[in-house]
Parts: sequence; structure tokens; C-alpha cells
Amino acid sequence: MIGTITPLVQGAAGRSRWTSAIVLYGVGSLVASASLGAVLGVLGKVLELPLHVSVIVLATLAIFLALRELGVLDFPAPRFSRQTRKQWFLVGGAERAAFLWGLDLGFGLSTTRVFSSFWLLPVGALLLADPLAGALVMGSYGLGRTLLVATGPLLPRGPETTAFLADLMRSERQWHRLHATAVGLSGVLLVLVL
Amino acid sequence: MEAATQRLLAFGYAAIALGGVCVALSGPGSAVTILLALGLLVGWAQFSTG
Repeated sequence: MIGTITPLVQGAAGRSRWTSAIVLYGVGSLVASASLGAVLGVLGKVLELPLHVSVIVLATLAIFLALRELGVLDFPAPRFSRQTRKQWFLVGGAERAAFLWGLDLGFGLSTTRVFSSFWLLPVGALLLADPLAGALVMGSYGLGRTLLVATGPLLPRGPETTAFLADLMRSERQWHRLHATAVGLSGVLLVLVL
Repeated sequence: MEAATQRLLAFGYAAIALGGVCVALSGPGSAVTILLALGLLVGWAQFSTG
């Protein structure tokens, strides 16, 4: 998506409106992700699991997800085939599209995703059984997605963009290792919390 | 792999190391802090999606 949002918004709106588009993307992303986290936190209260049980489940899931990212384990994880709508840019312009893209991508459950490490976050928001904690956990995901798009102008531009994006796709295995490291370390740290 | 991709990966690993050190130095920490740091990294490192 970074390969779509950055050239579209910058090319059409210019640098002056780039900032407002990124802010709107961030607002949309944070609203969607934090709202989902808060709802999961409320739903988690129904489960009423003791905190140490939740942390054990989360740490175990983190290790399993890390092994899946490394290709050591292969088990099904929910995955959606839908992509966000590029047409929103043509219909509503850069700023409205940026906000809608933020809502759609920040929500996390409506578009395709390659990395299964994501699933520790909604499960964590659910098991922590606290709307504020859920909003913080999922909101950090929305903020992370905003940081990704905000760094777009720092990436190669012009003719080099296509080659760079193709290189990103080719290096998917290395990105899986990065996710495995992050989610695996989270699992270890969660064990230490107990 | 191109230099720009290598820089992004290096940044990602540096962020993981920094996050791990911060959580470790802050004492026992909490599950929320750990998941919050993970959320930032996982959100940022969604390069081929959406």
C-alpha cells in the first residue's frame, strides 16, 4: 500500500497537502484500530480469564506464531483476500481517500495480510479484558501503519520506485524473519512478566 | 537485495532491540507494554499488504 498511497497523494496533492493527508490517514487508522481494541477488551470481560492464564496463552501463541513466520510450523491463520479501494482516491480526492484508507487498513481485519504475527494483537486485546488496554494495543498497530506510510517520501522515488517495491516483494522471507523475531521476543518477555 | 530494503530491515531489527531493552530496563513490565511495542513494529512492517 505504501507504493500506492505515497505516489498517488504526493503526485496529485503536492507536498503541501501531503501532511494533512497523512494526519487524516493516521486519524482514520487510530480510530479504527483503537475502536476494535476497545470492543475486543469489552468482549474479553465475558471470558473472565485470570491474568496469568491470559499471559500464558498469549506467550504460547507468540511462540507458535514466531515458528509459523519462520516456516517451521504450518497451521492455518485467518487471512482475507480483499485489498483496500484505490478508487476512493479517484472519487473523493487525496485527503478523503487517505482517511478511508486509514480506517480500512488500521482496522486490520478487512484486508489481506501476509504476516500472521498480527494475530497476537487482537487476541491480546481480547484476553487482557480491558477496553483501555485493548485500545492501546490495537491503537499501536494503527500508529505503526501510519508511521509506515509517513516514511513513504524517504523511500526511493521516480523510476527507482518500481525496482524498490519489487525488491520489497522479493525480500518477503527476510520480513517474515523480522516478524518472527519481534513476536518471538514478545513471547519470551510475556513469560518473564509472569 | 537493494540498499534501501536492507536499511529498512536494519531499522526494524534496531527497533526490536531498542524495544526489548526498554521493556527489560523498565522492570518486570506488563503484557500491555510488550504488546504495545509489538503493535508498533508489526504495524510498521506491513510492507506487501493491503
